[in-house]
Amino acid sequence: MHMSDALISPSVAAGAGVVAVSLIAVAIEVCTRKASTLNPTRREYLFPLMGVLGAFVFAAQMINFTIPGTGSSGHIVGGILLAAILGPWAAFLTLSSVLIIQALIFADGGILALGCNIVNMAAMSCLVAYPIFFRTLVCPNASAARISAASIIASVIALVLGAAALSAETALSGVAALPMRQFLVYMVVIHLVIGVGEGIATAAVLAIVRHYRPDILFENNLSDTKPTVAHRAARVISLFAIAALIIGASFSWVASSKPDGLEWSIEKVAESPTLANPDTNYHRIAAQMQEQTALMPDYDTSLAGILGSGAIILGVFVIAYIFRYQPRR
Amino acid sequence: MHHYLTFNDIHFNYPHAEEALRGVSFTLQHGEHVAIAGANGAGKSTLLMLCNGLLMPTSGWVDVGGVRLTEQSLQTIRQQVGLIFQDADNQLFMPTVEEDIAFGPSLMHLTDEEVATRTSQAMHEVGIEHLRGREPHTLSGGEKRRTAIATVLAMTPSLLLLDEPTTGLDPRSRRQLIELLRGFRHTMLIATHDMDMIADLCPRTILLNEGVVAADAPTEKIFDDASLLERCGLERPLSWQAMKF
Amino acid sequence: MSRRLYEALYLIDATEHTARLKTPLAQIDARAKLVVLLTFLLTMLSLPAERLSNLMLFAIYPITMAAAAGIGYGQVLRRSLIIIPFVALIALPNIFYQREPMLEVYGVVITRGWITLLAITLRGILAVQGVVVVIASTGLYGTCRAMQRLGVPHILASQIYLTLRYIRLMVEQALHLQQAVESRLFSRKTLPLTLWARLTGRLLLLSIGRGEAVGRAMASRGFVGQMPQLPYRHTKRWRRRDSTYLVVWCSTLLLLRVLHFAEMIF
Repeated sequence: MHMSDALISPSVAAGAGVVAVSLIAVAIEVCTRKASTLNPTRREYLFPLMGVLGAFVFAAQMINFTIPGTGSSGHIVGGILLAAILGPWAAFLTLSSVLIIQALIFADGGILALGCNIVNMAAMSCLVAYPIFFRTLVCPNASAARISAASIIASVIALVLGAAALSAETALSGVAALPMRQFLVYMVVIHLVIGVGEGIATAAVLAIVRHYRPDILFENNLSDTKPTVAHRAARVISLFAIAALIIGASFSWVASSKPDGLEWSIEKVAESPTLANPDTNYHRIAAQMQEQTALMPDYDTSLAGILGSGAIILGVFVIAYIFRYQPRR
Repeated sequence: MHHYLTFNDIHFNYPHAEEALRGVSFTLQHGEHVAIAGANGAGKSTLLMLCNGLLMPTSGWVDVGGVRLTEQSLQTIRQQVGLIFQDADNQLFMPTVEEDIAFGPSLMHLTDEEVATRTSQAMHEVGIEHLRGREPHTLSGGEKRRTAIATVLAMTPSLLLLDEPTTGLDPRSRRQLIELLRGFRHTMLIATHDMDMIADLCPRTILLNEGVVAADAPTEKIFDDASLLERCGLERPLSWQAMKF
Repeated sequence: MSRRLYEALYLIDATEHTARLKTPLAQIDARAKLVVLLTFLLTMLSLPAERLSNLMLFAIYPITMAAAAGIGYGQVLRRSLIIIPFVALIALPNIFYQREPMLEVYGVVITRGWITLLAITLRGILAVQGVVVVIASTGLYGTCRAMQRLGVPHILASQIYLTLRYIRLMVEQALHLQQAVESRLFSRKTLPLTLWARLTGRLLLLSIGRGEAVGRAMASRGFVGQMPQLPYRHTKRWRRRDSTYLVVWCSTLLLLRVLHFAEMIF
């Protein structure tokens, strides 16, 4: 899901932006360096392939399919698909540029939120889910069933991680007063289902590509080197460890029957009008940061203020309308 | 006489596929305009791509301007050889026409002024100065084709290779293109099955059939032999069919 | 089914069209416009959500920009309304969690939750409007050039250019494929997964082929892996009006953020 500018605070946007920018810088470095080690023919094709595949992803994201089992429709993000063709870093760069372009063309993704979206959608799928949960499970002669399983696992992990990050960013922003825990659970569950859909879709497309163009896929990956056996074993072990950690952590948090101290006291004091937000930790920090940037003493909005603003804006609108530039036909 | 392009017993096959070229040999002199005629799948495009090293022969050798085609000589040869592909959209990949034409020269380690001069010159030669700042997708088929030619001309090549240049053009654009090509003094190798264009532009024709050179002779002689043309999946040009019966 | 694709094509074309008109806003250097847009977003979004009256004043930016760009504000408004469902959905719980009263209107008590809900929705709408107006008067390529001149690395910028160049083609190709499929489906529902996979798979194969063809074209002209730095020749130079624009708007926005005009006057 896309993070919108409406729900983000500049501090969170800046933080995510820093992460995104660093990852992009690394990706550029990795791609340039790896490109120079490829043989001339491959090297020539990496850049144009990235560009055209970016356009492909843009178009493919707008074609919906019905998710089997449910009645609704969805579209893929395409991170795992791209990574299977280009390798993790090139795919990350491609997907990031697609996100930037989408933010500019559709203007609904959010400009400040780009950092978050790049991290949630591009980084999680290409840089985390793909290398750890897809590449390690798939070898050059993998069966179709294996590829499907790997696609589904990787897609689910990618989307769930992205959803978790989105929830964290929303909570940290403190704009929406959502209870973090409930929101997190809700997002994770939804994206689990969507992830399965994306995994199946990815696997189906990979099967077609593999049938007609096996040379372009992970076995002869443009920017990947084949992992050695020991390398792979280590990764497989680590993947199970990470999976266990994630599952364990979320289960313990969600299923915890002992509310933490603060919530317990809130429950005791039902209906207190001074309660701003259940997860006050995050909200308090965010509110503090916002207060510190205000130069005037905080007084909230009043009716007179709202009406007055409305009048000012109306006046501005009328003036702008009168003096607007009219393009000649 | 100093040959410009030499193909010596070239064999080529795509990976996991049958041989596309089975022993092709010919030579081109400086300034010759030669057509490579053949049906679809005869190997014309493959042959052209072997001329500038996009493909490397599986056996045999290629000489371009006296330089043997190898992995090391690729860049030198590519500065001398300009290949214009069938699909113009794949060659116009920059945001504007001007930047597309400047692409080649700016990779040649020239100064900014030299790049600018070459760009203007190429646009002038082809007659597209008015399209300078346009985006490629706004151009018509004929304009795209001419712009693609300009992108190659800006590198001042000695050998021009054209792959089906008249495909998809309306009669006026086609006529403009033929007139343009007629004025070129470069060595030209045109892969096509537009027999009327061959009659107009190329005194010599190489007939390619299933990866083998079926004939290499003056164009008139080849057009006289209707059965040969038919065997190669071609026909006499319409203008000839009317004249000679 | 193909609505989204048509919409994308329309938006791309419309953006480039309006950017080419000789409007006052189009004459301003794109870098200035981008910096002001960023300032707008930063100042507006750093406002605490309760300050609705303060927030409303930020509408000055998109309203005047739209007028200067020769774009009807109605169009801009309409485009910005699209995000309401998504944003409002997430902000809805505010009503339940922020119950303290804030205003009284003719005896009806409005809680903080409602105010913040309105504010969040308004933020979203205004953010979209700001982006729409700036992009419409600058164009996609213009914006990327400005980003590059502001420091975006060359490789990323050329990647974006290349993608932009082929998006149109790719969307058209996708449309053709989708229409071919649709004409054989009798219902107007979305594609079943198998058909979708075949369509997307075909599109992907076409893209890979085109990517390689572009690679061949690039290689034929001497490309060895690094995009050349093309000389900027026809880009406008920074003029005094750009500085004026930048300074005036940035200070206005900062003032709007820091002072409560409406509260002070009324």
